[in-house]
Amino acid sequence: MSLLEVRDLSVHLDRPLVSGVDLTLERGGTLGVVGESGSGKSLTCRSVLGILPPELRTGAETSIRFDGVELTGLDAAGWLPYRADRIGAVFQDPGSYLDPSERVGRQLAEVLRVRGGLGRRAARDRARELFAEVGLHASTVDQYPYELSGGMQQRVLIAIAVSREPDLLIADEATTALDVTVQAEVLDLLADLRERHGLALVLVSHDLAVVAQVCEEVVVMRHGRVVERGTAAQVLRAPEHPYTRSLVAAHARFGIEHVREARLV
Amino acid sequence: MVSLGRREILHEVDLTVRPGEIVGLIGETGSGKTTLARSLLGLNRIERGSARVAGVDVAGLRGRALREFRRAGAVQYVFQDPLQSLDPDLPVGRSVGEAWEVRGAADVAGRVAEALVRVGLDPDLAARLPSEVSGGQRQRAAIARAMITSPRLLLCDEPVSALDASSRTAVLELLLDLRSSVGQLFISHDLGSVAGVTDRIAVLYQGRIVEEGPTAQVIGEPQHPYTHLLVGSAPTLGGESMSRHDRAALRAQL
Ligand SMILES: Nc1ncnc2c1ncn2[C@@H]1O[C@H](COP(=O)(O)OP(=O)(O)OP(=O)(O)O)[C@@H](O)[C@H]1O
Ligand SMILES: Nc1ncnc2c1ncn2[C@@H]1O[C@H](COP(=O)(O)OP(=O)(O)OP(=O)(O)O)[C@@H](O)[C@H]1O
Ligand SMILES: [Mg+2]
Ligand SMILES: [Mg+2]
Repeated sequence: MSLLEVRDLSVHLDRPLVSGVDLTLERGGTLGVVGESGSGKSLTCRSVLGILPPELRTGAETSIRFDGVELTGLDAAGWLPYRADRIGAVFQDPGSYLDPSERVGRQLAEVLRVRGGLGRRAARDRARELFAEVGLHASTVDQYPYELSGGMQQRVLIAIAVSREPDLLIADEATTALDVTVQAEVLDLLADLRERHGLALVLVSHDLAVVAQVCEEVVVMRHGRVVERGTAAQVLRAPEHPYTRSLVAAHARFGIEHVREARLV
Repeated sequence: MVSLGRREILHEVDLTVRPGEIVGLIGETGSGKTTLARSLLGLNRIERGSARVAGVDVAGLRGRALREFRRAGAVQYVFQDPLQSLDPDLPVGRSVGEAWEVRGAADVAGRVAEALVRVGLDPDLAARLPSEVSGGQRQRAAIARAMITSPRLLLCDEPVSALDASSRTAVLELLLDLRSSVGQLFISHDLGSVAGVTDRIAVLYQGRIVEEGPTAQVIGEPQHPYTHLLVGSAPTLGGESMSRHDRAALRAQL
């Protein structure tokens, strides 16, 4: 049984925004999702998390099975044991997911206390450990979100997302706001979590190089559909669909490779 | 020098953007890149030093003079988070055309449609709210909004980080096209984009510029350990970035 099996996912407004998307992810597996802006990558993630905007709904034929359990049709209470505890998520725009009036360390400690059942003191200590794990200085716990740069806010959210040791982490452009040195550290952190806890990862990114580095499997989306899928090596080095080919060509046009190769020789 | 709260964020920063040039600003998360850009707009007070934009020292502007400077739009900012430049309660087209509307320009709707097409968006998007379009679409609308006042200096703070590779190419090509009419400060963590569009690069680390030079030199022959770490950490399609061990060793030198 796969950890995550999405079958025939569709998301509708008055028109379909996502159609016929199938995804399979094994325990500890890594799936990259790349594709055009507006192609439905974030809506696909939100469907798996059960957090679609209220005006949108999934189609009747859609099935989303997580660890053998059908998630579509669950009510808010039914979702509770899955979202956050077993399926964590980090999105782009970190600012909109933090409470502006609460110190960030407390926001993490609250999650550990309420969801993880830790005592006040244990939650505070664990929060500090988690901040260190994502490369945040201990003093950051006392800061408010507006005092942190976008990249620092994103690290706080990653710490919150992995704090419950979920089976699946959905990272939607999660490292986009980070400088590449921190990005490399966060990707190392995710690799460690995979190794230690068998964390599976859905990674949405516009950066094909990040996907190449992290993911075994890749799907390419366009106009709400999957247009190509395969191993990362196949899809990113020998793309077949014309759209994927244009993505890879665009990457080459503004990739760092050509400048760096000069340095490496 | 610029401080926020009691902390000094930027120290002794010297940076020049000439007309017809795109200067890259790269550096650590939290190193002060956005703070620097906001200072050039007059959004953060510059306590020591000066910042001349199109002949005006922004550091010396206060009150009405500052408001007028900002309204004229000689400096425009494309934010890291596009939700900051687009009013969440207004249709995208209204935010894009705001400066024209304020000036009572004719045919605002038609000009907005043109501005949207120019950044690769469907003009029908003008009627939707920012929350109803994707992140990438929002960022392109924010760029359209910044360009309508014909600015002399464009501050692009992660302008393409929310875009897919093909729309990113379109926007980067657009910025390159605009280079002859507007000097640009291009802030990005995406070293590939920086390498592709900039003439020079400055590296900001802990509020100081630790390295500055022509793009090929900074990326190809980094001098400062932080720049070396930064360039080496960039992932590539072939997977040949610096090992975890080498990165840790460089970090230890900082
Ligand atoms: N609440 C909504 N109401 C109406 N349309 C929406 C809504 N949310 C998303 N859409 C539309 O659905 C499509 C898919 O959006 P989605 O955010 O999933 O794209 P994406 O692939 O994540 O794009 P990006 O790479 O730019 O983040 C887009 O055309 C978007 O405009
Ligand atoms: N309003 C504020 N009050 C106090 N400190 C602030 C404020 N805004 C930012 N800072 C601090 O200023 C420093 C520089 O932040 P800035 O946003 O300029 O970084 P950045 O280089 O743009 O980072 P990123 O690459 O993550 O966007 C950070 O250490 C941040 O914590
Ligand atoms: Mg998205
Ligand atoms: Mg910034």
